Amino acid sequence: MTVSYVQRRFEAVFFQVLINGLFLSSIFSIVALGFAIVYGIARIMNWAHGEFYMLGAVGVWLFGRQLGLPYFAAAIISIVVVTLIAVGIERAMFKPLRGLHLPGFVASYGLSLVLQGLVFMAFSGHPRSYPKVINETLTIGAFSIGWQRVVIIPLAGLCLLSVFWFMNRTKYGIAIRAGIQDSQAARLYGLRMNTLCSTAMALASGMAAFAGVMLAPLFSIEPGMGLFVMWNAWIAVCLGGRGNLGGCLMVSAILAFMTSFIDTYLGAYYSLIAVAAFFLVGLAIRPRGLWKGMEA
Amino acid sequence: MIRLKRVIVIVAALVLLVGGLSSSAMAQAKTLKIGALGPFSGSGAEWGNYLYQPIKMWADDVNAAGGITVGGVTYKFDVVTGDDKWTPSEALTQTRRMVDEEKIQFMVGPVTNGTSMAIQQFCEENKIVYFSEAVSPNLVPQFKYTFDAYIGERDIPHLFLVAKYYDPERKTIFSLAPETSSGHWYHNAFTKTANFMGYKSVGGDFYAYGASDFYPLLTKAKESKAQIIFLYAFEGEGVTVLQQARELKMDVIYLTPLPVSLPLMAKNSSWEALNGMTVITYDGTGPAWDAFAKRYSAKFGVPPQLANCLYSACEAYGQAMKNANSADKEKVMQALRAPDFKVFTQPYGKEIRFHGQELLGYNTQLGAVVDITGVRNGKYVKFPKATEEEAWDVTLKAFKK
Repeated sequence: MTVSYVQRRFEAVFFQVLINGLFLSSIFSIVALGFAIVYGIARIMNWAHGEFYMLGAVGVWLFGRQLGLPYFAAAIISIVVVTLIAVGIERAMFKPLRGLHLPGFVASYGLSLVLQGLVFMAFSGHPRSYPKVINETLTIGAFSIGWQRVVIIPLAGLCLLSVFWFMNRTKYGIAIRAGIQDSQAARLYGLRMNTLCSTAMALASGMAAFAGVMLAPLFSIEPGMGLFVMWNAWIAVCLGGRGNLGGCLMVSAILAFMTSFIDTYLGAYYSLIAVAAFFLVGLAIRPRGLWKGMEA
Repeated sequence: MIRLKRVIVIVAALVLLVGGLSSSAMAQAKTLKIGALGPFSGSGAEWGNYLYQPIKMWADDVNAAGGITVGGVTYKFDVVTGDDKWTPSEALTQTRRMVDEEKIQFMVGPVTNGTSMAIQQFCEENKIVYFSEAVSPNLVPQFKYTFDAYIGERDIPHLFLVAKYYDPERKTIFSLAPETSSGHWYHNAFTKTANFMGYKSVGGDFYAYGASDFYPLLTKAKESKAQIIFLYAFEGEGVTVLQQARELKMDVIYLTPLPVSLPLMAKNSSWEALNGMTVITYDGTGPAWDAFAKRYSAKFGVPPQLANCLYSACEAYGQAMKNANSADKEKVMQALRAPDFKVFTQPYGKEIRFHGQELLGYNTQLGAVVDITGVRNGKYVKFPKATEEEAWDVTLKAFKK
């Protein structure tokens, strides 16, 4: 076994792990950003945010596989339906809890259980899956990755760019950022917080549902699938700094690459420990977040 | 005259009262409750369904047939559930509730080692026979009321024997199992069997239960040049692993010890998910199982998963009641532990007995291996299987302490 052979094998695995980290980073970022936006403006740690991701995946399965619609039609309908449900929930449930951290979190946790339970009752806990839209695999030497995964990376990038454009170039986006910075001042300037919060929730849930729709052909669709993204989103928001959307994205990326590398080189359970340790150490060192002043 | 009338009325009332009480007592005595203990909420909720359905089916079957008559009394059965949420403390709480409030006769479940161990002492003290679905044999020795509905040691050699017949050139194996006590048990058992049968274990890893992305672990397996993957995963993770391994262009065959119900996987996930893969699994086929599975699917809308073990466990209890000619819990337990105990089971279509004596020194593991089936290139196939004697011979040699 020559040195160059070992090196080539190492490079193949390393490249595989890197691409997988990029893929995970794309997904975590979309979900975490939405979570951060809602937290920033409404001051609610919405634990049910992961369920919007789950509902997106369930929706595409329901409209696509059960009702026979093409994937893209099923995806769009699923995102729209989830967004409408989320806005309804925001108005009915979260509105009186804005700014109340603990009650808001507890209510969202209960909502998370309810949504999981409803899906379980409607469709049972049996995992479902959705056939891939793109079945081919990209192979370069020893490296392989499904094209379905590859495509998600630029799509997620496009989604993030769209959100950043919205937040920086549109009236509503700028108003939401103002609300995140200082909700009282925003009110004094005449900004309608109800509208802004609903808009933020629509944006966030739409993004989560978009992530769910994209991942439905890759992962198992089941009521508890939201935890996969929610745990990382939670850490990203806590360590990224309240209201710091850029910080949230950075932490999402760190978590994704950390998970990918440690899973492969050490073992799956070590990555859970590492992520938890990163969270605890980060909070201990910088309770207000690892980044400051990095605005989106 | 009036006094006589009063006496007659009072006596008649007393007779009615005593008769009513007797009827009531008889009605209570005629219904026995079975406890189904498992996770019915959270991420493990699908296990709860797999547990509840076969027990309910057995109870309904027995009731439809008129119940079980022993000691001159006819008994019918009702099922009550306890949600242990996959935690030992909750398992004990629910067991207490089912025993103290619901007055269960016996119990089926739970499904994990931790929850099974948590209730052993309590069930022993309260004379509650329970059939655990956990795989660890550490459960059974000291407690007379603990039985195991499943015999894990025999599955694995059987799968390896089939793999050997199917493709003897494949020699390297990688193990994937969840980070649970069952996962670790299977990983160790698989490694032991692989070494005994001349395979080379090139690695293994554990995933967090409920994981969605297996790319990192499969990358490891691919890099280790595994030709066979031993996969301990239920349908959700199983399908995801197969799909993602196909994306990575892995040329492997999969051995799966769980009755993952390939038709269910195909129904929920499509045959495309399994296309191009060779999966060898312990599953049910044959006329008896087909008939049972059809009834089960018609009743619950899904193919059976753990039904072969759990339905058979209930059948065993019913048979033990008949053998003891009593519903007395201690007598039934003793009947179950009789050396010559056998029960005809519908899912297996044959008589089965408890096992474990030669291997573990005690006979409390119920079960039998059904056919070995699989998927090859998107088609459900029946693999030529090893005989039960051959598989058991390997089990004894590989696992004997």
